[in-house]
Amino acid sequence: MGEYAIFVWPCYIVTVALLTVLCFSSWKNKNDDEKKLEELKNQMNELTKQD
Amino acid sequence: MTTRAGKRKKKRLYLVLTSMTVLVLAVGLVLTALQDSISLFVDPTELKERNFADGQRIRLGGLVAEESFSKDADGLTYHFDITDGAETVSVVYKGSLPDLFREGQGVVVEGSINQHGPFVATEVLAKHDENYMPKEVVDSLKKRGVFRHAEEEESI
Amino acid sequence: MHKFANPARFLRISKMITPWCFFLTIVTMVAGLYWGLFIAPEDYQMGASYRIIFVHVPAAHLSEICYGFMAVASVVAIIWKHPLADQSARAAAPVGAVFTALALFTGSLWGKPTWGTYWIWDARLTSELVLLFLYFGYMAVWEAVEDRTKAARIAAIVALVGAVNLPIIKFSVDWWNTLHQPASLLRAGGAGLHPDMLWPLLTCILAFYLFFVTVVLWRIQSLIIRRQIRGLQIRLAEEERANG
Repeated sequence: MGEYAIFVWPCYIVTVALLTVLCFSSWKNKNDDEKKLEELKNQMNELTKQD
Repeated sequence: MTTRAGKRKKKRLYLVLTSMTVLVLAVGLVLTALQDSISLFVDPTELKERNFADGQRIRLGGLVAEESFSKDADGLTYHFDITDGAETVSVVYKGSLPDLFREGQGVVVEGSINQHGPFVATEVLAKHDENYMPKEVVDSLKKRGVFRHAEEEESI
Repeated sequence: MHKFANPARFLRISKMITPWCFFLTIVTMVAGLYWGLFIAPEDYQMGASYRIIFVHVPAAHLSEICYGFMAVASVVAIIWKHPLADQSARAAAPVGAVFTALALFTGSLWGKPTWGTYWIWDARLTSELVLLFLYFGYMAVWEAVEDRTKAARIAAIVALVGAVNLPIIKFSVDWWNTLHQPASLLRAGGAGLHPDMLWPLLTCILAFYLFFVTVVLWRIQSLIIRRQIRGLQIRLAEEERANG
């Protein structure tokens, strides 16, 4: 890579880092939302059972 | 689609189409009017055709003419010609040159108009073309004598 | 139209697709980046610095594709008023903003060793920077406008107006004198890259497309589920009021 390493490596590192963060946060948010929905559905079921 | 909802959909479709057409036309007109200031540089032919005031700062672009490059004794001042195939302008520059700078290469230089001598550049940028090739391929092409720099082809 | 855009059905189908997309993203991304970084031969003029194109070109390409996708979704949203269209455009915006930022960053690190400058206000670089601000503006609308229907409508208009910038970015290198070179891939007379460089680049572009599909699908799923959550919360509150 020689003298150009200081230009090439930051490009690859920043790209991988940003894409990983974006990918993980999107997946995590989706999972958290799914869990919350399940909880609410259970609450709803219990409430309707009481009736 | 004769229902009222269908009619409203059609109306919205036409609204989108007409407003986008108007927008595109307006932007197109603005860009055409600003043509000269959007372009990054002028080529040697434009430089000769348009009357720039002495001392005015502009960017000049073209190919570094073959066998025009020379260095002063101080090792820092460079002389070369920029050509677009039709016209040629002499340039003098003091500073460091980019790695890609060589004869036959596209360059953009910034500096001021000098009607009594060479164009005095304060910055030299190399322009890369859209071709990428491994070194070995170029070497073998050159050996067979069929390699030509892409930008040379265009200027001929 | 509405049959396919049913949120519940969309959720079900997209959940089947995303794990596969994610798997393929990882495979192609690792393969493409490794190929570009270590295997592809060096360029005869630029040496190793040209390796930046393997991340720069896909990022720049997807930054435009993503905005185009948002613009199409916004047209559908305006004409058919389907919430899924708004959600698709909204989900894609941050992804596109990241691609644009990456294109600008990597391009700047390529520019220094090649051109001799990190930045120049030529038509290509400037219009790509405008694209980044369009993404920010679009995202800001969703954050700033309280009423969801209103936010959706304003955001869709922003997306459509901004779409005018797309052909400007694409053709800037042909319409005006720029420092940025013209297209290497999509041009008359075939790609301007040697096949040993072209294939890793195409792999990276495919990887970025797969990444885009995976992440945007996850984000749309999130937005659909959040809508369902809000609906349930309202119903729960009503139930509790009725019981209490």
